[in-house]
Amino acid sequence: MAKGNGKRNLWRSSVLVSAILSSIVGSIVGGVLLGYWLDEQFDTMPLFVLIGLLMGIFAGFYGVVRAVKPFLGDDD
Amino acid sequence: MNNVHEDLTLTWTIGGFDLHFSFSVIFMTTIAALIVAIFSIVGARKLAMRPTGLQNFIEWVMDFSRYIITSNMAWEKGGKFIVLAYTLLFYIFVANMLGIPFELATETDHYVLWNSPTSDPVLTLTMAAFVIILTHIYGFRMRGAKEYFADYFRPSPILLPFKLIEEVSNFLTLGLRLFGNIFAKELVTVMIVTLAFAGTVGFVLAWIPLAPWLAFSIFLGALQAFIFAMLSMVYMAHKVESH
Repeated sequence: MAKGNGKRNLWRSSVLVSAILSSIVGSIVGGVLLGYWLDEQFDTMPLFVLIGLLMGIFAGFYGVVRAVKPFLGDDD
Repeated sequence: MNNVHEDLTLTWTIGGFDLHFSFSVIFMTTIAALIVAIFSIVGARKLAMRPTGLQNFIEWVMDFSRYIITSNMAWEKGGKFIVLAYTLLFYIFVANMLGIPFELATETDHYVLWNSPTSDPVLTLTMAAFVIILTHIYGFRMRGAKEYFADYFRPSPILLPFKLIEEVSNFLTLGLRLFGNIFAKELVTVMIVTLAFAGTVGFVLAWIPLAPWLAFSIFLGALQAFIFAMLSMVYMAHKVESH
């Protein structure tokens, strides 16, 4: 992800915001889609969708941490 | 004006599969690609030490692409992606701008003839898929199979399913963000223009929302082109650089 300092801050922060938003929303959608696909393969309808939803939430959290990490300051 | 975004599609059946070709997407992508090619070729044809006019502009776009890359990864590794970043940035910008001055559709069937090609999810998701596939190919080639696969288990093997979900979500959001923004832009523009033909008062007053909205559309198109190129390079840096 982009380093925290530098010019053109409006553009950079818009990238950061959309990266954070999309990793929250997209991970949940992606997890549910993966779970849905697995459920259709194994015919176990609600199981993998729920697992995918939970994992999507955690994956979104992980994505946010990864996106804002360069801006926290303690990362070399 | 209900079916504003209906596409004129040509269907071609090969071995039981239906391939749908959307006329407006084919036509508009060709025009956008031609504009980018003509600007780039003419701008770089007569290179001068003191750049003037078009060469100045092309150099500025090139510098901007270089800035996008260097804010994500080391130049030694990312330098080879400058053509990719330049093409993505320039092409998406031109494609977003094409629908702003006017849009064309047939009167009776509402088949779209002229709009921004990026308002079609098939096109944006295809571009996102190619970018994601490219990041995997370059990650594999530049760091080797061992490092590439080890990356899925770092810093801890527990993260493996999250990394797999992240790949899917990167692909989805990269394509759908561009599509959603441009599609919404075109929809609101068409709604305001429809308002203008509702009556005399609407015809006189429609420019009040239309002018700021078109100005905002230009900003939106530029911003989305920048975000697409920037995030492509972010994903590329995740795959190409060692952690």
